[in-house]
Amino acid sequence: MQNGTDRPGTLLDVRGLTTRFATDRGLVHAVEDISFTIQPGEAVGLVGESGSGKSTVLRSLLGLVKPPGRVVSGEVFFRGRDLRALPDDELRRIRGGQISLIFQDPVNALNPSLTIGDQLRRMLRLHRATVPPDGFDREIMRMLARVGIDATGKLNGYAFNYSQGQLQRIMIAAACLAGTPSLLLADEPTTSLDVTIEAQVLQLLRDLRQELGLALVLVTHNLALVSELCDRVLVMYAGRLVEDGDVYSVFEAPQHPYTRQLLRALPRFPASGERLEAITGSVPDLVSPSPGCSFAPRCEQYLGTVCDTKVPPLFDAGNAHQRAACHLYT
Amino acid sequence: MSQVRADAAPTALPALAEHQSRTPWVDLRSRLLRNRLSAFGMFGIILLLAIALIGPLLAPYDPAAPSPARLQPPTLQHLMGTENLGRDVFSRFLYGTRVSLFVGLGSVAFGLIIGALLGMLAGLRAGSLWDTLIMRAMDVVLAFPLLVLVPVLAGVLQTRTIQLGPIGLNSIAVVGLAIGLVSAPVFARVARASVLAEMREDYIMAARSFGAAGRDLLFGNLLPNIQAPLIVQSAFSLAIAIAAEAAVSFLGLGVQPPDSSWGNMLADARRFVIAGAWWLVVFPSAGIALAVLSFNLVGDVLRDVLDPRAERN
Repeated sequence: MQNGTDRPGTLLDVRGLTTRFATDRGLVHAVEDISFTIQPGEAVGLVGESGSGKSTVLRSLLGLVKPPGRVVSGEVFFRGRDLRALPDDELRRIRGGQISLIFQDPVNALNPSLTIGDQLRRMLRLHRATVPPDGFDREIMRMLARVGIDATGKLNGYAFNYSQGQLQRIMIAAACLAGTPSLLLADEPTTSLDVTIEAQVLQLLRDLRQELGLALVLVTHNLALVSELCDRVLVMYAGRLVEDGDVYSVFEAPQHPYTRQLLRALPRFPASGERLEAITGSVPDLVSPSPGCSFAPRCEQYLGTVCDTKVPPLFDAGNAHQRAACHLYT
Repeated sequence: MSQVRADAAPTALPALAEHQSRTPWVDLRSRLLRNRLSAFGMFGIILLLAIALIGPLLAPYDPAAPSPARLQPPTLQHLMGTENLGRDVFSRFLYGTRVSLFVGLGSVAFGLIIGALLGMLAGLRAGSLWDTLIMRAMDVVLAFPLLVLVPVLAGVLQTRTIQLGPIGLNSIAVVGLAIGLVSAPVFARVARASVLAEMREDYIMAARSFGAAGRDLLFGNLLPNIQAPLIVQSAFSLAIAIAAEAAVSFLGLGVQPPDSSWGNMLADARRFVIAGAWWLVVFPSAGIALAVLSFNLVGDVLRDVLDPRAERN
């Protein structure tokens, strides 16, 4: 706990995180200079359209960006220690032990050639020195029972023996119960599930979070999910953070023009028959980002040259603890 | 069996009960036996393995003991006749089968372990200096035709018994090692390509996110998923290795007398075939043909079953 955080209680403190992908077309600036903090037990939604860099942020936090991607700079302080500076074996113990990741598609996230029991046993071996090896199976049954799966005699099944919903429950059990995590990273955890299963899995996540005091970073483009599950929301656009605030403030009074236009584009129930609003223009090219605000070409409140030449930092805007990266608030 | 389990937990996972007994390997076995060609191949392999294992116990004569009955055609006393020194061809064939299969299996096992390890390492560190060094070294070995490199290696090595500490390597082991070394690059390429493909999968990312790394990731998570192409390659490599041993021994550079192998039995037969001693050629040739054919047939079906991308009939 020696260096790093300003606020001593802060669980995660990300500073200037920048991740780039070297492609044939040039460097893709997937994540540019992102900073945010997470308090213990806090649930934060990370939203943005496809390609805005949400998932890359999650992977960058754990140092799991696939080549040709690379975290080029920034610090990720977890409980005061910079994960990027940790030796490999310590980082390994944190992955799955203290920070867990839940994937969008559990079918692909489980090893197709190993039994479910095998995979969970491996995790216990890595993260639970206190459980004796002959107690693994009992512990696994207990973990699976907690997520609503009676696995009596079924531990020798493979991933294809289980349904999508069951697999996501197994993944959640692995993520939340195999180690002793304090931070859960979820990458669109319910997108691959049908609606009724989605509701059950969300309830399960909510319960486990409360029970274990887990902080959550939820990556999604489903804003309804964020309002249901999260305390705070971070809005990303073209690899940058554009707005940060508590869910209520951001949804009631969005400060960044992008957030405003994004929320207006949501379909509303009573007003059926109206045309859906869309944000005009298209997502900018991440290979050669503009020197100014990347939303400027699509912005309704374009201010002139300042928007094209200077990247706006996050300014205080709107309610307390609400910030927006827009020159309107200079 | 699965019935009992299903009854024990009637509420949970009905889908699992019916699939429980059908693991990928059970499925593989039934498919291997259903296809007529591969059933023949399996039969050939089992027959040859049986001969190799218990054949020498059944041999009616000492395979190395000369007798006055020279160049006898097959009779009830000598099922495969005798050769120019009066030795029983049937006994020599039984011993030779053991040697030929031993060389084939041993060399492929050696090549598989060396090649797969190097290939997986290269795949895991793709693009690094290790990758380049390993794969270019493999390319160098691959650049020489098998039937040139093996005799050269064997010829260089086998002028005497090689002593490695307490282990003495006779000509049989030396030929095996030489063939194994030459077959390693194919395994390295297969392993590297498979690792590269699997590393892009989500389950590897998930395993890493749960703390798996290094040996755990390589052998625990990757190996089970790349074993299929390695097994298929092993079947084909076995066919090649057995043919290579025969060829090298035929040239007199492989297994040395008094040990017999299919290859050196053919070499000994060269001068007497013209005189009509067909039995000297037919039986060892049949052994080679059966082994090569069987392993190729099984390899073909294995590839169809284990590689979902290959076309199925």
